[in-house]
Amino acid sequence: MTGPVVIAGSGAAGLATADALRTEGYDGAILLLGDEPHAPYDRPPLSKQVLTGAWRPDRAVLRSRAELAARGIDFRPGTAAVALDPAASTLTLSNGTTIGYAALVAATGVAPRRLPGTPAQHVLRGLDDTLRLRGALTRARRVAVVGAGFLGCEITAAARTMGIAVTLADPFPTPLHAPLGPLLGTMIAGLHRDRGVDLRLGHAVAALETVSGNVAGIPATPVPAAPHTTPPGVAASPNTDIRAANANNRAATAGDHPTNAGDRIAAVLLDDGTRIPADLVVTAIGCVPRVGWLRDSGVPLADGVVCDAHGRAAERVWAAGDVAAWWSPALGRHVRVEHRFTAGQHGRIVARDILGLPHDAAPDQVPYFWSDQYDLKIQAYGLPSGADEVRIVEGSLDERRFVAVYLSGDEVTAVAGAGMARAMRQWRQAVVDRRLPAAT
Amino acid sequence: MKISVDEDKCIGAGQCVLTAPHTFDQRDSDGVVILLSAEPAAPEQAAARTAAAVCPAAAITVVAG
Repeated sequence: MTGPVVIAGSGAAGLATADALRTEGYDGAILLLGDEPHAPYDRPPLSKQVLTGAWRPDRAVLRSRAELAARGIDFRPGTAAVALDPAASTLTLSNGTTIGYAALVAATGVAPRRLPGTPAQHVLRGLDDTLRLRGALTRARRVAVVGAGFLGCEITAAARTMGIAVTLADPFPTPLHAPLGPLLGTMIAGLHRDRGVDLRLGHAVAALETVSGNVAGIPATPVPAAPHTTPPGVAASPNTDIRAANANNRAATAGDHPTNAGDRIAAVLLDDGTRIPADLVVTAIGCVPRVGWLRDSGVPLADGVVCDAHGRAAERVWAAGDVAAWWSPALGRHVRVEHRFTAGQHGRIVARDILGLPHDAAPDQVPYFWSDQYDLKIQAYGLPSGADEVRIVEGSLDERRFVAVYLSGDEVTAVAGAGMARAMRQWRQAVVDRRLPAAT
Repeated sequence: MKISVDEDKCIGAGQCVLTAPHTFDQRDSDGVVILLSAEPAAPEQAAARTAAAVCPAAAITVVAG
């Protein structure tokens, strides 16, 4: 194949694709487009070590510019893909230029949903969001976290670790209700209660109230964030270094961070009328795939870019990572997974597919994800959501050391656990086999 | 080939042990990686390289040598 391979998105999936192309021996041109000014960085530490301040931001860098250049990867920070023409095999960039490609990889990730309305709210998706939120947390006294998924729970834990009062609200009866189910969700609720979190479960946020007394009501359906565009106030410069992000952040005034004091948050109003005073609101209610740049391309889109089992979406077009919905032969449907491990898997498989290399005949790869909350590390193999039975097979939830098996009928769909890494690795085989081990 | 691991970054996923069991192990207590061999023998090197690539915490560094 004569290049270039153009990769839109320089997160974990985009970088893994570029790396794997080189590892597999491809020596043609690779263009890695990043819409942020930063070198490729890792997202999981953002809501953990970077938010708490345990790590300096540059600890989260996956690859420096020098390392990318040394592998012959042409990294273009501050450059977003804005339109694709598969018939002509060209991609239009945010700087107005149009480039041709031999293979295109969509790795543009997801954008956080926000609560509609004007008052300030924080989200955490990128490094700049994280540093902005960290700065706000150092000044905050009472934080309201909206959404008790993994991100909301991790932000809650980080804020409590910093000694800030936190209210965590979610319409479901337990945290992590959808991804892990009510049994583990109840254990997680206890964990946060023990740490002094004010949990408001079973209630949606109805409105945000500002210091000046304005109340912005929230419709039942949150509005998705803008698609793949550069956020306002972010000036992309190829010389921007991750260590300069702090300085940029102090200067940045994104649209949802008001300079008018009257627009500051005073309280969150729940759907039962409860008023929760808060001087900071963090919204963690999920994400939407960043596919705006593909709208008119003819590339199949549903919940993300629709791909076959090896990430191929159209002639010479692949997708990887959070933005990609891959066909799962095991599940018989397309699945979009927003987990770090999957991003790396996708990158390696897409690279082999681009190069026409054979794939593993029977890949036993199963998804993996983890979440750190306080001193608890939850790990899971497979996709636990939607199971109809959860069995504790080792340890106990009371001790917060356990292995839980998720079943749909007789079929094992996932295992999740904490504090038992080795046992978890053994139980992973049940997810590969999709059935419980024979009694010994 | 030389391998190094960053215990502070390791999240105990165990993917390295699944990929290259002769090169990596995990501590029982917290699942943190144990490097069994910093310079794996030739037959192990491909698996060790894959282990570095699959690590979801980017905690494994391989230096060709």
